[in-house]
Amino acid sequence: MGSARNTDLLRGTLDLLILQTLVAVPLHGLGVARRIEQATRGAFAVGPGSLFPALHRLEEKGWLSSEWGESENKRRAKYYRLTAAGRRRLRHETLNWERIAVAIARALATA
Amino acid sequence: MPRLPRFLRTLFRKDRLERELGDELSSYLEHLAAEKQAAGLDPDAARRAALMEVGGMEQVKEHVRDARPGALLDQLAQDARHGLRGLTRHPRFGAAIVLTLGLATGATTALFGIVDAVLLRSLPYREAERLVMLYEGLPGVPGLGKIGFSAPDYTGFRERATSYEAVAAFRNKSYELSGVDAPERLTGARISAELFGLLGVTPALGRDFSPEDDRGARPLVLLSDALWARTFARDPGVVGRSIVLDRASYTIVGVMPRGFVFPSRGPVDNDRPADVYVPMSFTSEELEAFGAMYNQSVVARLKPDVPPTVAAAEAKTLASQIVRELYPAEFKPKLAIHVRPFRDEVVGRVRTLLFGLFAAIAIVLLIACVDVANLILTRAVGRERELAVRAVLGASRGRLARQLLVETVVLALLGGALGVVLARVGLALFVAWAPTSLPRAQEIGVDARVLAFALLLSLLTGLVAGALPAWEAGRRAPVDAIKEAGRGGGRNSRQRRMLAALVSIQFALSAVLLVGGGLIVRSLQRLLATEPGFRPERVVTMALSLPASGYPDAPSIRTFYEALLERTASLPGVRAASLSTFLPLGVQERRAFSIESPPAASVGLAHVVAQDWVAGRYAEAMGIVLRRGRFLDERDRQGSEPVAVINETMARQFWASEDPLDSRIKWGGPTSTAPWMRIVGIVGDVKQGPLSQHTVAQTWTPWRQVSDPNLADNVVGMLRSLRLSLRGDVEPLALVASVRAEVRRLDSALPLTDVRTLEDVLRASTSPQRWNGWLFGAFAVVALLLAAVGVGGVLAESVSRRTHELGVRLVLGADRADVLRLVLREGLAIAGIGVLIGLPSALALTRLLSSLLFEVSPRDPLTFGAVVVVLGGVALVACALPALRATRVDPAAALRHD
Repeated sequence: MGSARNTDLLRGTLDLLILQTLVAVPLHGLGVARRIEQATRGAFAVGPGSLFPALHRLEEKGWLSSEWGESENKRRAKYYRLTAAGRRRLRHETLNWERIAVAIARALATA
Repeated sequence: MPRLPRFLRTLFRKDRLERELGDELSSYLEHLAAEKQAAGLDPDAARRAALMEVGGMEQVKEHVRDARPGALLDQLAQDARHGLRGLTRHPRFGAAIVLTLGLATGATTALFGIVDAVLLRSLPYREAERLVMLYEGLPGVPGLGKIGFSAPDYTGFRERATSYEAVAAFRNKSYELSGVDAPERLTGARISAELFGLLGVTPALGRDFSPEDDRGARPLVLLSDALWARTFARDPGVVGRSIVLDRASYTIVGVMPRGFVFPSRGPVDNDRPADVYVPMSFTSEELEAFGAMYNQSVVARLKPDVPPTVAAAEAKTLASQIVRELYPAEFKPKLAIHVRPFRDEVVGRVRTLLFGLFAAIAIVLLIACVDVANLILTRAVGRERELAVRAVLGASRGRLARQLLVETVVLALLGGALGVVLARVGLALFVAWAPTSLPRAQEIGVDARVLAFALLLSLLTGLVAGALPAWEAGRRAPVDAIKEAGRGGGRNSRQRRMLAALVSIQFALSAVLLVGGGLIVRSLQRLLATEPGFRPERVVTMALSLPASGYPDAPSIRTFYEALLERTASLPGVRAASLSTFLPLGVQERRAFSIESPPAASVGLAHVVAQDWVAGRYAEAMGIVLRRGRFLDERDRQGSEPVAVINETMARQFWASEDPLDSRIKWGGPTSTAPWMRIVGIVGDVKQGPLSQHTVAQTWTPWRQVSDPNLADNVVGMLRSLRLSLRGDVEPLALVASVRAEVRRLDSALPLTDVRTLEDVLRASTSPQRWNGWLFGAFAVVALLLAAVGVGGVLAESVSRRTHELGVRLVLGADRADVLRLVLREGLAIAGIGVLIGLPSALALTRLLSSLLFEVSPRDPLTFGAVVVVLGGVALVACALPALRATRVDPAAALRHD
């Protein structure tokens, strides 16, 4: 399964994207996936095989909380929301990511 | 919720979590379908498309489960349960593995118990690493490179040495215990007052000896815990009471702690654990015995800042200083003093043996692991479908590999439990049967350390045996697995090569073990073929010792033994009766001597001989061969000319081509006042120690010619403690009852001890070697059997897989001999590669065994050749069964096989 390998490689990235997606509003699983697709202009198509393990992992770490609610089309759905710890984590990860991105960009430019 | 118990929450709330996960995923699916519907698909098509996009719902769930904390623990428990369930479904498969691993871990655990007790655990003394044993040595004298101290040398050394906190001497001595219900002979020890303090041991009851006790002649005694329990039923009021040793009263000053064993088994001399300890109190005669009675064992505690090398250098200086300052002017022998770590002395002789055995059992264990890995691989092939289904249901490859590994570990742990039971039984048997020379045998048993070892070992064997099958399961993609499972299974060529390689390794390991075992068995053969110099058939021998109080002077001793000799010699069935201070294989006395007009060959030689005093028809009783002259006989009495008989080694060493007969020798240096003794005969060499030791120069002199004061001496008591030996026309033990009656008639209180046939004495002297032979031989045979099972199994599988191919060959005109050759070639190639790897490894390793070998080179070509033949033969037999089955393949049936 090809997507499994992607998950391993991009696990950190996916976590970061999920946290970022949930900054403004709580979303359910499919909502998170669609929002990431939009935000990355389709570069990341997140399948359920990597999405749900990540959501559950982040929830277990206390960065997300979840509750059942009703979706826009009147269906039951589990909504995820960023916790205070999740916000701190996001700030921290964002800084990290920017540092790495700058470093990699510089490295690619000089090579 | 606190962080810590979160993974536990995962475990406990599993059902709710599972339900919620299911709900969440259905919700996801519904939303996805709704999206598709909104994009224009009809409801059914939208749902199908959504399902397709998600892929396997179960796989997604499995991924989420894996991501949960605590998932690993949960899954391990699940795998273990699964493994146990599988085991109950295939009891024969499980039993085979548990039994194989149980036997192997059991044997390894038992051996670890022994190695741990004997070698690894520290000695039960305070700061045992600073304890050393001291020895004297007469450089250049074969067999006397390392001997005990004489009393004057010990005293001189102790006064001068500065490297030690304390120095103490001890010496085994036998005592007659009477005044109790059953008089018996006890093993005792004379000890310096400082000994127990030096070791860091204090009596459990009463007090230790004081330096005054050591100087005075007051008869005091410390009891062992065992004797206290046996004779006094652990009466705490025993201190201050007295016991009768050698018919004299000794006051009990204390009782040693339970479990305290001293002297230790192991060293060459003075190694019998004592029941009574009495103060050393050297006599003036002992203190003047320069160049004689080298029989004190000496132990010392190094000062904390003195390394052993410094002590050794000091000992070297002191050795020459002692000779220079103390020895009489006319007698200045070359003397050496050695410093050895106490621990090495106690366990030194068995260290190589135990490590060798441990290596051997480790090889057996490895072979067993390979067999188990083989079994599991074989079954994994049969389980391909089950594993494939699990893969489809979402189990990752890692998960499948882990499941196999966990199952194997569970099996190994069961095997380990069986092994612990076997080890307990084995160790109990071992302690009961072990050669008495094994040091610290009483400390052997299954304790927490041994249990921990067994647990670790089973985990390890499980991991080792399971690693390969697990890896193999893990690297196959589920799609391939399904395809192969659909085709009815069978191993791919890579798996077959791997199995073949494993079996080759088994053969290589067996080759190493067989060579080691073969060399040891060959050594045993050589040892048993060694000429002892006496004929042990139909000879019975027993010990008597006359206590000083009943026999205070020489005449009383002479009267008793002359009467005993006369009466036993005339008993019906007795062909020859004799008395001697020692038996062959156990001549402990070493004496300095000088020759009247020294022959050229004797110049520069150390003049020390093994010496035995004899009476009666000793040569005939023992079956010693007379080479020239005559043996000692009735003519040699008190008052007649002192005479001696020497062995061939002595004649060759000291006289070379000259004639020793009629030369005269005497004890001590050239100016000693001892009487000259005329050499009247030369006899064949008789072994003075174990058969593996070199024969040294020896003399035999008439016991009757011993001077009155020496005979009556009770300090060493050597000449009043004799062995009566009878060569019979009949089964010799049948004579014992009538001898007992004669002894009772002479002295009703005198115990007759150590009644043995001379054959038993000879057998006992080779018991450690026979024991080695059995153990190594047994391990080698077990290894061989396991390897045979391995190659047989692989070949049987190969034949059944190739039934179709073989059928085609037969149809195409191959005859049955071709098929037989084909299969045999496969098996023999596997075994052959193993042997090719094994022999050079053995060549490299057997060097380490050389101290266990006797007159056999570690590269003995005969042994190596025999191992090749045996391994080839076993491989042939193991291959024959599957090969014969292959020849019976019915081509028609084989072709329908698919």
